[in-house]
Amino acid sequence: MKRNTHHQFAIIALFSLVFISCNKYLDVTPKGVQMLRTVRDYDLWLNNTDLETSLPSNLNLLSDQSDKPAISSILTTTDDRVYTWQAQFIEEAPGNAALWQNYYKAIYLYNTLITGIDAATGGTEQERKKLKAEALLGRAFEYLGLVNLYGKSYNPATASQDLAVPFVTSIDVTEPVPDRSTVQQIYDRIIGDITAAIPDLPANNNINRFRGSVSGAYGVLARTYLYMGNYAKASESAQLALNNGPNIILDYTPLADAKGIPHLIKRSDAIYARLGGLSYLGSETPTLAFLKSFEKTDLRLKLYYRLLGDFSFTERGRTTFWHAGAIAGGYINWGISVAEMRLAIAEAAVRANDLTKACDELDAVRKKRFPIASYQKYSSTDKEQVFQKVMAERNYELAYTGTRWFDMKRLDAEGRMPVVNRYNGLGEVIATLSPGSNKYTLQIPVQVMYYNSGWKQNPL
Amino acid sequence: MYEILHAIKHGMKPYAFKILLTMKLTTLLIFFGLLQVNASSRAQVTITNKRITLEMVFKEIQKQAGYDFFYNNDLIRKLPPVSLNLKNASVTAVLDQSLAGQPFQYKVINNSVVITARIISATVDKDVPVRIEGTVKDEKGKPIPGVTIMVKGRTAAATKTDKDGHYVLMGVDDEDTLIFRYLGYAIKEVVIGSKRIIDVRLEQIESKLDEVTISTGYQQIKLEQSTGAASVINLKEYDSRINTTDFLTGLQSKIPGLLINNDIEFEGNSLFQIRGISTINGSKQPLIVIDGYPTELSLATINPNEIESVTVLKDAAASAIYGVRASNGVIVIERKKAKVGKTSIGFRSTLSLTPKENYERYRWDKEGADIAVNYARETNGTSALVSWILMNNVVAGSINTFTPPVNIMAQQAAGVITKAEADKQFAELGNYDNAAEYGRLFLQTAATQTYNLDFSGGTENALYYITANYSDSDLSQVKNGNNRFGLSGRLNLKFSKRFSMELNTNFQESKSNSVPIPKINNLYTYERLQDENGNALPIFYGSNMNPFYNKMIMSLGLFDNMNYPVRDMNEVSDQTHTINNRVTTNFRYDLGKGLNINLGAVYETARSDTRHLASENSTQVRQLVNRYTESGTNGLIYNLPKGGYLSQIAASTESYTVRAQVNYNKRIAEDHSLNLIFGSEVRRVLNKSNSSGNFGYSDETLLQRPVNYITIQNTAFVTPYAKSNPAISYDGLFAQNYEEDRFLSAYLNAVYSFKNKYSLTASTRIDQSNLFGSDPKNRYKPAWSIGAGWNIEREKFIQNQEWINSFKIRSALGFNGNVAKNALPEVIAKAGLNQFDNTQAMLSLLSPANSRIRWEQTYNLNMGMDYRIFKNITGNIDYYIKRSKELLASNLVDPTKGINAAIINESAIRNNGLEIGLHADWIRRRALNWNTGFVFSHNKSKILKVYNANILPNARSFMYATGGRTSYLEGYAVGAIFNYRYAGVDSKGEALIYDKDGNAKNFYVNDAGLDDVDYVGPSIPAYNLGLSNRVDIGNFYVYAMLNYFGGFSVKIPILDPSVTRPLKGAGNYWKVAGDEAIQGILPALKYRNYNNYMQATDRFNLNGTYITLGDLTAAYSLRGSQFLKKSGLSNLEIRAQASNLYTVAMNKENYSAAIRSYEKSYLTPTYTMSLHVNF
Repeated sequence: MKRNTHHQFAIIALFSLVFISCNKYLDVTPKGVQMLRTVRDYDLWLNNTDLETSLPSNLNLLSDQSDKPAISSILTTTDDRVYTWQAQFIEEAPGNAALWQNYYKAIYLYNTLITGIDAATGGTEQERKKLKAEALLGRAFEYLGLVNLYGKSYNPATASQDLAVPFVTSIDVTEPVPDRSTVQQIYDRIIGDITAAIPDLPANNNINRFRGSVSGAYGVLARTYLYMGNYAKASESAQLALNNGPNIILDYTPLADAKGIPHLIKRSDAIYARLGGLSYLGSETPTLAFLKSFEKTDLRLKLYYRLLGDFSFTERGRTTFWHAGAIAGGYINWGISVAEMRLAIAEAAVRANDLTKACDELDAVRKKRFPIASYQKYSSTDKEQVFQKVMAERNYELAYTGTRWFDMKRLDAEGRMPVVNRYNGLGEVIATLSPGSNKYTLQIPVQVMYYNSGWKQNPL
Repeated sequence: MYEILHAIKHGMKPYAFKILLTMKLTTLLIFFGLLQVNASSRAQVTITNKRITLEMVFKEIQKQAGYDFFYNNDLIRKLPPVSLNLKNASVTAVLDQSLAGQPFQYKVINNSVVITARIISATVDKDVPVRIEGTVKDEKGKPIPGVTIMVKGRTAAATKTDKDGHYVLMGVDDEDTLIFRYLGYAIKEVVIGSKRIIDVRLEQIESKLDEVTISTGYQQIKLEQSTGAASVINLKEYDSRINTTDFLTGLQSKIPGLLINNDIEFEGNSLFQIRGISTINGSKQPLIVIDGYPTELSLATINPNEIESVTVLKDAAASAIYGVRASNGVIVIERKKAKVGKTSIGFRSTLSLTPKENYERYRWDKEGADIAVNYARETNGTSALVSWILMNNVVAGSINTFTPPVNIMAQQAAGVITKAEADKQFAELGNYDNAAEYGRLFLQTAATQTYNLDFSGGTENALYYITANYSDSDLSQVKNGNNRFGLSGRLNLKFSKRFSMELNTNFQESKSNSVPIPKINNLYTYERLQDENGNALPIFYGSNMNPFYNKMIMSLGLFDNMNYPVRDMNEVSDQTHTINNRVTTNFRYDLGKGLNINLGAVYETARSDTRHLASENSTQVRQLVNRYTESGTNGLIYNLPKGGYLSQIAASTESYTVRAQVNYNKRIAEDHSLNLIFGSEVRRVLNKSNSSGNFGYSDETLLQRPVNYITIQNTAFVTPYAKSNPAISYDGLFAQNYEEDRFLSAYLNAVYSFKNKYSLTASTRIDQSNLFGSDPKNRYKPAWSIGAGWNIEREKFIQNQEWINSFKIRSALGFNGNVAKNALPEVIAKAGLNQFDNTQAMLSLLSPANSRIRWEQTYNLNMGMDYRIFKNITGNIDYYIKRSKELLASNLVDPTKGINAAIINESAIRNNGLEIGLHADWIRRRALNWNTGFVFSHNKSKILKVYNANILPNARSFMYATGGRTSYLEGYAVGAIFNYRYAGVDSKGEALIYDKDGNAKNFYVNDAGLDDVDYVGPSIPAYNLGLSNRVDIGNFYVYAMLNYFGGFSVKIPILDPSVTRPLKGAGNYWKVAGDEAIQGILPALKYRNYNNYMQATDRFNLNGTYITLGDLTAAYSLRGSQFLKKSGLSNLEIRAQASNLYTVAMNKENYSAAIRSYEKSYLTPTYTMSLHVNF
């Protein structure tokens, strides 16, 4: 009997031993994956390539600069549907929400930092603030795209009734999504967040142009005010962006091809760099009208377009635009660049009737875009002509950077957009975007409505 | 004296305890007859025992009274035990009572007792009827009423026992043999001889059945006490066929509820599941347990020749003890064990042959080449000139590749060749079929040889079983093969009465070699692989470039970019070398009183090295070098060095489990017994791998050259010459992978049984793992089960049902789960390099924060019965309901949340089904045996809930029919399939379907959603039946196995003239108005963009039900023959088997999934011969 007690004790001891050491045994740090714990982790988080390529690559397909001569008659691909401004770009629900999800993915990543940075270990308080400011700026930039895609063009009179997109701040996938905010609320958040971020942002982003900086913040503000129609503030912010950071337009005149253009990550004329998905690997098909509008000597044609032929541009689909250049080099910047700021100041100047300033700003851009020998400064005293020149210059300089659709939208709100047609390979009209069309405000994707059936859909 | 001599003569051996026989003999010879002493006066003996053998009685007397005994051991041993209750009795009294009624007498000589057969008087008058009486009792001594007693040779029953089991029989002779028969008991024959009282003890046949235990890997539970659904396949059933290399095939259609089908795939895996699919994201495979421990090693490491039995645990009662990993069921493999005795040696050798493909019997159109050429000509008529411009353009040439007919057209259009020349080339293409050339160059008869040698034997205290096996396979593609060598040893040691140990070691080395062989469907029918001189020719597939552009870049100094399959066979080699090791040890210490402890562990490692070597002449290297070649100012810059390419992957799995377990097995009182185990386990699984790639490599000099990865992996690098060539990925070339899982578990299993009639079981297990990282609340989740069983046949009311030998009902309820990895309540990140810089580190999102992540739960209810009727039919019937909820699925979520998909526990699946197993021994005689095994399983699954349906309510019809979105569709079975109803074509050649009212319309007109399609069932068979028959005639047997898979749908390829090898009828498409009247006409080519819709019509979707004759085996054994006796062998057996002999499908196309490809119209059989030798 004594012997048995002894054994039982041994067994109990053995089992207790196993369980005492149990938590220690299970607490192993996995390899290859990690949790975000330190300030440094969050710093690396902002180097994420997903953030750098956050913009949807098919944004360009909405614009009047894009052609698609090989479009099939039954619109099988998402691109076909985007190109013809269908109410829904993807019908399958739930699933991918074209355009929409690109923005919200970036917002999720920024929210991750905004949510967790205060509890991060290591680093200084200043570093924490700096990273949070960068994330606030990045998130504001994404909302600027969203509010202009899914909300009406900013109109101070109706902005607080016009529905835009939900303002998401949670990172828990089980949290419900908030309701749609108004256009006004979204703009308020954009401006508020950027303004709050400016004091903590770093003075420059020379090491990685995709990261936030004071100049980048003013640059995004300039674009924001421009889209809101607040031209004075747009001009002021653009100037602040130039004053606080890169202000030299990259000179194309000495370049043989795009190989000479440095990589976007360290390029001197990029205030706040961004790319549209994987578009940087590919090309776009310009419409013949857009190609024909170029001056033949325009260096942008030479550097970024292939198969220019004799510049008569008669065959649709033959001449293509390449994001990395006709002979690959530096990518075109979808974010904020020095030239865009100059053109924003120019536009504001025209609208303020300061045509001289407008032409000077135009000159600052254009003289880097034409061969020195043949370059002539543009000048005109006709306000409308200067305005058209500024807008045309925006088209050439910002071609295929995802911005043209937003320009079309605000021009349409001013009643300045003509009818835009889409043609199939036979030249038949297959889609029309009329002035004032509801299509300028995209429908909320069905994949989103699927989960939020209570939302009001944008009118067709 | 006579007695002793007689005894010696008759082989009597002295049961001498102290004194040797020789000494005793002398004494006896001298004093015989002079010194007869009455023993009764000298000693007294006490024996009180209800069941004591005579041998024991004699031993007792010897011990207590000091008498020696002489008797014929063989005779005494056969006698039944006696019941004695004597206190202080004399030796003679004890002997008198012990031998009462026995055909023996005794004589006491001095201190010795000699037992001899009673001399039967030969003068007994035969005419006097003999009266026999006696009692028939069962093993427990209880009288059995109603036992039939017959006299051998007479047909009518002589008598029956009364209610006390007593009988009286008159009119028999001494020579007669009495036969005692009672249902459920072994028949007993007794020769009457001189006996007049014949008491018989019958043995229950079920007593053998009772010995059947279910091995859960943790313990052995008696079948009569088990409450769970478990099926056992024993050696005879498993070993009737020839098992060569794959142990699973031998289980197909043999165990109700276990679905094995290598011919049907779901989600890319062939079917291997128990009781349906009850998880979406988790592993769907059952857990495999060998030697009591789960294995992480590949199933190929299991040598089928070593298998003794396979137990499949299907419900929670049986498998809850495995915790969260058991929701798909458990397969417990017991391996052959050594028997006490001298070394026995077994040798098995098999040879399997599978003939080459016979392309003549494929469903390809005989005019396939012509159809493909015509198709290309028809569709590219207008674009030929453009094609020529594009394919010769520096910028566009590398991405514009066209099939050979288009190349001819382009040349003609550009005036490079004349029309006559073009027509000649077209005719050449149209007349050629490369199937024969393909078969000659790339295929061979597949052959597998296996050798298996085992040694086993040992003593009670040390048993060993050692197996060596080797198998060598040539696969059906030339230069593709593998071989395997395995060695395993099992050792059972008993150190003392209480302390024993078991040690199992397994080693397996396998090597496989292969070379790239294109699939025949990668080749257009008209493509030649070699020219007249045997030189390799390029093919379209994989060339990534048109031949004209290729010539141009070659003239610049780049490599030939074309794909030459015949050359690659000699330029590329793939080798995999795997070493598996497994060691299991178990120590068992018996504490007595039904208590013992087990300490055991298993350690497994698997290392595999994969080596891919491509020479400079291989297509792969040529294309890679071209891909990264740039034009520099001083000529070409080769960013990738010329020379061989070597890519290697080293992967290893390492796991251990350590287990400590206490077993308590005791009959507590007369009617109560308890079997209790509890224990704990520690388990760790580590998976590691790394890979490397070397360029400019020479396998002779081992030299390699550096590569400028910074340049070529920079996103800014754009290839100028070969845009369609595959790129290399630095991350893919040099990858490190490391995954570690740890588990801690505690478990308990209790089986309580009352009067052997009722049993209750309960089990529980708690698993904790590191998978849930920081949140301890998610680590804890017990799995449990409870069950009850009732052996009804032991109840009085059923005992008079003679045809029921055994009948048991049981029911069990339980819960187990499944693990979710890589999802946490917080964001999980993964390190990487910023691809725009390649130096900046970054962290990217791996998994979003999910605060409600938890374990999957599967509730399992099983009701079943086991029966044995008419003595020779056994089986079981089970019905189950499995409800899996909180299933983790990588679900699409609201895109507004910022992610496409998240792992969310919101789905539920219900599986229910019926299983019937039956085994009948129709004839069981010495020279003739016939038995049948039958299995029926039905599984019905229904998705009760998916977190979000893949399909919107009121969705368009194509959402159901195309794109495979319905695998998990709420309200339907797992793998649901929907069909359009094909209605031919309209007058323009466009496809028509029937709407719900039977009116024909185009696909896209008035879409009525679900009404436009029919639900035609799942893609997974709902019914599986197996029927096996074995007939033994003497030493010969035949075994046949039929499989039935039913209740599912299969898709067949659409008839499409654009594919490389058009099927018969692919040319039958609408060409001109009026064609729509032709029966079975296909839509006009211009509507090819509706091919996905066509694929979803009932024309190309069939009822998949099919039957196969899986195995036909014949065997002849020389057991017992003179030849064997002379050669010293104990057995020699020759078997021949044909597998996959025949199949028939229940659809109009007679397409059986067993054939695997619709293109093929016949089943390729495998023929196997085997030789078994035992020493």
